Amino acid sequence: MSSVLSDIKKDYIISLLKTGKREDGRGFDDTRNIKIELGIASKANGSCFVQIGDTKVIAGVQCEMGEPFPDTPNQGVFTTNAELIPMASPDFEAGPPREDAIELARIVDRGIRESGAVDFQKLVIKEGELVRVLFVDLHIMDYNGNLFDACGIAAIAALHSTKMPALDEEGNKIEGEFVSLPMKKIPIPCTYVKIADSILYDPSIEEEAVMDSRITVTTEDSGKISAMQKGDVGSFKKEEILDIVRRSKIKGDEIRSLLNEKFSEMR
Amino acid sequence: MEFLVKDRSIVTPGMVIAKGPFKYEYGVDKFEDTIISSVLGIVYIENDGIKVVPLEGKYLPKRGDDVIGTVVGINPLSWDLDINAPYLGNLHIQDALRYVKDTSNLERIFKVGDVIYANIKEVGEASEIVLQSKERPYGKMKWGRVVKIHATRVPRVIGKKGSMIKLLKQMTKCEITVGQNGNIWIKGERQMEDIVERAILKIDKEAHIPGLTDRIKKILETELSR
Amino acid sequence: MEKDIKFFIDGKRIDGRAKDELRPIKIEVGVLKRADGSSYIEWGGNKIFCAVYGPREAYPRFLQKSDRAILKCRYNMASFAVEERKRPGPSRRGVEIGKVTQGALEPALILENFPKCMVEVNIEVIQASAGTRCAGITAASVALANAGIPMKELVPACAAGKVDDQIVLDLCKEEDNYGQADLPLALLPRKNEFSLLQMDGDLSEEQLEEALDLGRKGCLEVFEIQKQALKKKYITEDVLNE
Repeated sequence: MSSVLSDIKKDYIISLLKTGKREDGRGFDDTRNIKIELGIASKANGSCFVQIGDTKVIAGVQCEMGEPFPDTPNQGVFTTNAELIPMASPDFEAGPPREDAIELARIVDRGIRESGAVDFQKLVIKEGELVRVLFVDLHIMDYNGNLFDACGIAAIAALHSTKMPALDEEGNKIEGEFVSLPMKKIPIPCTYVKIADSILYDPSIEEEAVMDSRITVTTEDSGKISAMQKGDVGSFKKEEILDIVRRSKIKGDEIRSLLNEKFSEMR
Repeated sequence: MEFLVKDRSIVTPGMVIAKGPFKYEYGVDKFEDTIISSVLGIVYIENDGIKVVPLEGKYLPKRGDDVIGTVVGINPLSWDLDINAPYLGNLHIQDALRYVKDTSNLERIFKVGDVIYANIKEVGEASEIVLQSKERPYGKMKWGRVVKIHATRVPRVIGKKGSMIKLLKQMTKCEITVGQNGNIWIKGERQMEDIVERAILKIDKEAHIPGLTDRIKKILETELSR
Repeated sequence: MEKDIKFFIDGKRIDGRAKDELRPIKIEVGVLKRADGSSYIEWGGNKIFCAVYGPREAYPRFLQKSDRAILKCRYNMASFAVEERKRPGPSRRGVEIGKVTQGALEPALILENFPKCMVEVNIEVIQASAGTRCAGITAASVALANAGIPMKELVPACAAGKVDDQIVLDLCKEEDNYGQADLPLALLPRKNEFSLLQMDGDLSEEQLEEALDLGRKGCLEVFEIQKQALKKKYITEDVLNE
């Protein structure tokens, strides 16, 4: 059965926003409760469970070895994959990833790749021949809005917690020895939606159903922007975009310090 | 005749509730001379009758029930309504309005997303749910909000002889319409709507705990005195 | 594949268990918001989520049955659930497990109340360590109850097997990989019949009988854990009730 949002609910959300309030009582820049759990899937080299409100995702990182791409012989290979499995929503169907899943994976991928979060050159074992191949797999368990941020946070946290098998000079695995990934940064995606000229951080599923437009801004530790994506239909004014970028930096820093806490607990 | 569980205890599916010739109603299954729970629920033992009220599950439509649903599809001569049941409810144009001038564009009457208060005219053999919304107070609902609860707990929102719903209405001055399918529509002052919504969600959660009316009354009094 | 491995040390198994002992099992109920019913199980090194949707109208339409609901079961393993990354998407193994899961659960369900509908069971393995199908069936049965689906009884599942010519309960990873036989079972406790039975390896008739008896005993222990997990979800309310 489809998940149509009733007009009464839409009207309610919009009329509340006009008085400066969100339906669930949050401020415009408040996130829902965030729960982060590292190492949930211990068979993977790195993993992280992220819950934002009732949205739940798991990211797993696995390391293999293979040939580099011909155009980047001095870099490791990095692939991000997302699956919107039928578990997560009555509207998701089994089968190969469709538009939404591919867009999601690509936004997460770009945020990490473009920020230089991983030092890909350090993943080379033998230039042009053998490199580390990293897979980030995103598993969406429960979809209740803002998958981009949940997946982006889960992916970067999983990468930071990843332990790869150590290699000797020939490129053979050293049994029982592991090394961390060469991580340099913590890019954090922040998603905002515009509803009736209000700009809201971390949209709930109801807010996503009412939104006029959506944008995801990924910032990194230094405050630089590393990726952006205006999603779905709708549009933003220049001033709105700049405002969102400013707000993304603040929210990004908050989440980064949350992650840093988790990383230090892990060590 | 013997009971193997206490009145009002939680039973899991397959649990033996009693042995002997008891009358049994919803939520139980009979196997030889034993009565077995067929759902996760609360047992109610009354005289010689046994029923299990499910703790979870969808609304099971009955003829005559009033329900609140959302339009999710438009057919050439009817609308499909989501009423929290396994099946969509069907509202035919002839059963929707008293006078219909123009049937060429149903979307002009009700569109996807509209909330409709309707009555179940019939539940067919193959479970088709036929709705009607011709007479007042049935029809499209505007403004306010809809709170969704378990259909099996609706009787507790209404209360004995309507006592609970009366309490809620009197104390908050909200209009409240209860759908048997667990959708409850509230309209009033925004803060009052908030209070009613919280109270209804509490009833949903604590439906089987005795002293419910007193607890809700207390909460309403505290909230209203703020 | 057999390997020169010592399965018993001082009468204890590799992981310290007795022959008739289950690995630790923990079940949580109602862990997912969107699903109509859900559960999470940790069983030894397995971590599995289960979501149930329905009953809702079956699609595609040709699947509809006029006298009852159909049960669809999907078993999927996350790419990162095993050490060697699994390609995302359906696998032949997953499809088969989905099918035997359906066969194990359906005999316990009362689907006649919902003609033309479907009930969907989604099993997602997040971490796999031998016995995922039994853990999946166990979790799915709990999630079905949490969705309010009427049923004759819960379905617990558990494997028995053979290592070092001895019959043991609930194989761990090493026993599964290098043992002599694996016999995953699901039990209808009240009917006292098995609704999942698969076997690979080699067993004599006597060993099979011993394994079935031991497997049944294991299932009954799992059954108690299922019931406790379901009650625990509402128990605070039940205590207030006393």
